[in-house]
Amino acid sequence: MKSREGEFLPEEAEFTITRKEGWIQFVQRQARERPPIHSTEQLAAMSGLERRRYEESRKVWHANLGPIKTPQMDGVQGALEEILDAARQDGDKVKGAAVIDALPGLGKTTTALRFAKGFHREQVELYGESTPEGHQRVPAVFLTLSGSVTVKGLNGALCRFYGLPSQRGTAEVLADRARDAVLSCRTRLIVVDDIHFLNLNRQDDRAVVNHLKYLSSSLPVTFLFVGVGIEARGLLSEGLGLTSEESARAQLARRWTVLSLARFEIDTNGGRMTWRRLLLGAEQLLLLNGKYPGMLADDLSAYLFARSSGHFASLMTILQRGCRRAILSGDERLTRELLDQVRNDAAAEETRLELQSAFDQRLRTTRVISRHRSA
Amino acid sequence: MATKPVSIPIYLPPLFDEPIDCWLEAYAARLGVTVGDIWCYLLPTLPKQGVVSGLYARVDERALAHLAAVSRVAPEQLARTIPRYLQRKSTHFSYSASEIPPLARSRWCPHCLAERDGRWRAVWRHPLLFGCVNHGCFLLDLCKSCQKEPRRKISLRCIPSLGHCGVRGPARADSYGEICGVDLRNAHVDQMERRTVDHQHMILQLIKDADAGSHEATVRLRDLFIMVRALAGADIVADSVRLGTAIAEAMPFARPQSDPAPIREFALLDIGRRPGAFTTITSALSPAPRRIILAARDPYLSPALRLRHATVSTKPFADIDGDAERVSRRAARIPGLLWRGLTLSLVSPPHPSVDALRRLGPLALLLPGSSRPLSALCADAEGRFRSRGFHYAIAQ
Repeated sequence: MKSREGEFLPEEAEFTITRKEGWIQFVQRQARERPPIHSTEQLAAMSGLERRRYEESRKVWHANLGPIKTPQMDGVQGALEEILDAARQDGDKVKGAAVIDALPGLGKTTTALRFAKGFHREQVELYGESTPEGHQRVPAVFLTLSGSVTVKGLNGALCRFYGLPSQRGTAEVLADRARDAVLSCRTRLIVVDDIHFLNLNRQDDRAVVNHLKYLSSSLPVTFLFVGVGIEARGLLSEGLGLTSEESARAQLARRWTVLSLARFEIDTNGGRMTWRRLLLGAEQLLLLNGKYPGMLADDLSAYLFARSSGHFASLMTILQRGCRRAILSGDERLTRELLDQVRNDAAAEETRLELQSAFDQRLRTTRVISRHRSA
Repeated sequence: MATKPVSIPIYLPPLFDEPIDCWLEAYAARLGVTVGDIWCYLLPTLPKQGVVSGLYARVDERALAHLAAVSRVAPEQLARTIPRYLQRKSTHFSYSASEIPPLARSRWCPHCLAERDGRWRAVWRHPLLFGCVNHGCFLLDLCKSCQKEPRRKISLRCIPSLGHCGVRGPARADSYGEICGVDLRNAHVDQMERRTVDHQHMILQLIKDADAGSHEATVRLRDLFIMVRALAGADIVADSVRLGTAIAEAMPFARPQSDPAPIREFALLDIGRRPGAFTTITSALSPAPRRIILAARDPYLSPALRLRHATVSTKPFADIDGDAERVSRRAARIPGLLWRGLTLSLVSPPHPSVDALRRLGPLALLLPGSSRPLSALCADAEGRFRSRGFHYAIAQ
């Protein structure tokens, strides 16, 4: 809990990362200070207000669990670094773009944000907060597409990110303004989230794809697109069709490198090991005085896999909601009975029964099988 | 956690001696937006009406702090875009103002404008600045193409084109008037003589010192301003070449730095009104006006010159020594423009009868030695101005 001169301050950061000010706050934000774990006796000894404030800070902590690094994220991160390093070409060369294409709830945006944040910090540390001309250095930009994006809207979003006027002007004028900002602020990476909103059956969206192509050609910037089913939606083939001849004409497929985040699996020993490490990591982060070693990684491993179907976001959701219930109940620990009362996201609930029955019938397991035993 | 104000990442600091309105224009031009857009971003707390004339006085500390946060320019650097001499209400007419009002428009040196990429200087709005000491030329007052004074207004609806005339032509039913758009950096200028350049150098130094807070320099500048306008009339400010000539004439009377006593402007008026008052007040006067008044009493001076000297007291009066008829005759030969200027300087701008007074004033001021009654003057003014109103206006 942070307090200045006795003042109780809310912990959650109120900013939007689609604006420069919010983005820079996000980039510069230090890791959240972990509140201590108090025993039941200590909690009972607290005054009313003190206890409420402590519970408030625990709520915020559990709502922002992390950072938890997964091997999948590390893999994508490494690939992104490679792509960006290779894109440090002179301005006359067209730079490639990266695409994170994965199912929902696997940490696509989190990975992209973590990568962009690291890149932003590194560039500022290396070159300073200002460019030689005095402009603010903004190495990375984050945009989110809306459901009905147009070329003008996309240019406007770029302008808005930089804090430039965007209410008036044609698409070309806004593009010029955005280009000026990108060049002046030495932007090197633009993350575009929710690229799957683009529907290539719509003329406006095809124009946006072409505009993105134009921007990546005309700006010394690497684009990182994040979305669901990008390949399946034909974005890489630019909606030209599926014949090999037509696909060959699609420039994007040659310029964009697709990266994917796999969900957690328990079919292999390696996969089970990764799942266990994830749960051990998460366990350490929980602020419950009743927790014990192995609470998640041993006792709830199969249960949590069944509830989350191996999706990171679903796992985090059930843990966050479970912690709240555990605190309210006074048990301060997660159990199967308690988590049964927690509703998870719709997709996870859908596959829950099937997986749970497989675990119950010992057809599947999350336990790591040692080499000695398996031999 | 409070969100920081949105700042513009593009850094565009004001140039040396650049006024705030020009800096806003330069910012707008850099970002390819209209002045109105940049105004909304940088000065959202200030209303947009009367962009230039009111801007200098309206940017308070709060607005300046916001401006600094958004533009990432140091507040002290921004404060220099609003020099003291611009923080007065712009007018041609406030002759009795205790400080010198800035021009509502701006003069310019085409060479400087070209060197500064079309970004103007604040000092070009100072009414006593008539020349560029860097290039030895007189400043320009009017756009040669549209014959209008640049920078009297700034269009909020246009993306500015720096260094070009932004004066808008008359509006039409279906559209706003067209912008002149002539490149002011290519205008022809007249060169100054060495002596005039020296005068301008002195005035520039005084302006600089006064802006830095020197009371001495402020008083000297005001003395000079009063003398120039008294000697040559209010309209002189409209033409930098004529202003330069008038300043050259007034310069010998400039108050020496060693004399700490300021000119008592109202004392001068009293001298004009009440014969004999001179002897009681003269000891409180600084040498410059004393010298002028004494010169006006010189019996060997021609009546016309005596009248001109006497105008330092803002009004010529009939009780100047000498042959009244001669004085009147001589005074009649003095260009009407001179007197018209004086008349204008006596009238505050919002006076409803200012037009009538413009016609009546020259006649009234040619009264010295004349026995013509005021009622006759009113008749000459086609009855549009009553004598009571005239007395009221003169008394302002």
